[in-house]
Amino acid sequence: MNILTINDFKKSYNTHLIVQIDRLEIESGIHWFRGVNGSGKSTFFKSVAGLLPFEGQITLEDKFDIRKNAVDYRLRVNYAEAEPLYPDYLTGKDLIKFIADAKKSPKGQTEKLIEALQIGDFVANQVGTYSSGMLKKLSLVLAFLGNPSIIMLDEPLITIDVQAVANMYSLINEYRQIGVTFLLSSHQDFRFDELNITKTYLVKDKTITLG
Amino acid sequence: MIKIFSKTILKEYYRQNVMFFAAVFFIAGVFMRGNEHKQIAEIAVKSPLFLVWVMFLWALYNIKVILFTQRILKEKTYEFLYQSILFSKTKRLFALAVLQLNLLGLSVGYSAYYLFIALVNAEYLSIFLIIIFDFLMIVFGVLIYENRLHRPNSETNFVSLTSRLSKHFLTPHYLFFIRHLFTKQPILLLSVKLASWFFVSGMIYLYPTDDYDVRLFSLGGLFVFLIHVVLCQRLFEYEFQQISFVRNLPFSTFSRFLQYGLVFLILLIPEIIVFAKNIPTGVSLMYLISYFLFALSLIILTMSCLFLNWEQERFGYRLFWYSITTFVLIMFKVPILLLASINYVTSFYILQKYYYDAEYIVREN
Repeated sequence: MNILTINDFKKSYNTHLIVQIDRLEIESGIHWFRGVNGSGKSTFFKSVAGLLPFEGQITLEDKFDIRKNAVDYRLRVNYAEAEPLYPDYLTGKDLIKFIADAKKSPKGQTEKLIEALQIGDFVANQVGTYSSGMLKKLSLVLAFLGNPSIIMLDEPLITIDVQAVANMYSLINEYRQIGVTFLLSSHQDFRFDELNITKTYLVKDKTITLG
Repeated sequence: MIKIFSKTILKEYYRQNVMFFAAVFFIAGVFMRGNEHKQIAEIAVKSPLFLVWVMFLWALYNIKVILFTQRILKEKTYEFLYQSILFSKTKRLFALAVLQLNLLGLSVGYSAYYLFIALVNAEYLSIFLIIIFDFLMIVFGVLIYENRLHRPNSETNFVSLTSRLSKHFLTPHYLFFIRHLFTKQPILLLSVKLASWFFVSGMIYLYPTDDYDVRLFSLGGLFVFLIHVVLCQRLFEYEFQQISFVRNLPFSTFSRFLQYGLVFLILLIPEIIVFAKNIPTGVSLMYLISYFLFALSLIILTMSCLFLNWEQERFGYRLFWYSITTFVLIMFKVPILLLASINYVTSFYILQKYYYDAEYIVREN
């Protein structure tokens, strides 16, 4: 069974085509989407996450259509932005509580994630006081909340320190063991060495191919 | 530097305040004729005390402008503007003065009209006062901006207090936008609430003075709604720019519909209190409830319509015809509960069909 099936996908901004995919089937595993700046990785990820409208069909686990089953689909697809932006007057706790409730996070999960990504020292502070690395860690915590089938991490390695990278790898491996699929992106030549990458995709020339 | 301030602060100010200006021109144009403006100006220039009151209104507008600029300067997106301190002081102060003059276009333009009236009437004291006032308003703004540019990370006692309180209390998600208004756009919130209070109080005051029926309140509800349109636009922008992740959250259409309803119901609490405490004789509690259900339905429908097309021109066109139609239906005594039900059903349908199709891209002209 494919975890994600994409058919006749097309995303443009006004008349400017960003990404077009005839058909793409993604199986369970850890997938790496590679591409230079502006190749359309983030736009593709945001479309799959349901943040952007697009033409075509996206189906999760052969049964949850992104439009027809909007709630079930979004319950199972999580996403962390490359450069997260949150209202600066809210605290990390406010955001975690909100998203944890929406994603039906199991009891004790938030505390575990806060500890795993080491954000306990500042999570009660207003987001406006965070550095870019702290923001990134918060966005990673938010992406792991609930019981997702897919977690998409856009440029997960930028701005975080070595220890946080190690923590993130260990979280990914832990979630992978319970069957969660990961879509990771990077524009740099990060190898995601600690991870067992299933497939690598190349985002180039306004489309996505196995690379 | 003038160009960069203009492209960032000035353009953003006028873009965000289109509805504010539309409301000001609507009120100034519909409720007052040209000769009435002239009469008021003549009274003002002949009476310095009255002129001071007019200047007080201009000063309030200046405060709105200054708070807006301060807010922009706090945003991470505009942090690069702090680099302007690397330019020479003369050049920077001049650019800030041009910025402030352009931001104050509304009040400076209106004061120019008063200046003209004062010149025609040879009221030299008023001429002097108006020129000095406008000059001081520009200087005041420039000094505040200059001070801000040299203190990019200054923290006020109020911010420090809210920061400490935030550590101990969680903000429920339905208060996110309301906190945004209090924190980032307090003048907008205050203006909307004052204008709305003015209409609610006005109709409560007018109702017993003549043989009016409850249509007076329905029309008042229409005005209350029109005043809140700007908040619908802000909420729409806020969702896309500040909390875009909500589109990834598993909320049903009904849940999103209720969330918008709850946000605006909270925002309408002051009007509900004013109306409930001063409910005129002969108006039932049931009517009071249906009245606010009606006002809320108009707001929710507008919020939903933004997902159809949020661009100013098309949205304004749709809003205009929608308001006129509602006005006519009220005059023909169509029950407001029926109108409210139609509005709720329509807004639910629009949210269901178009919520995920909406995209917020600010086009460069």
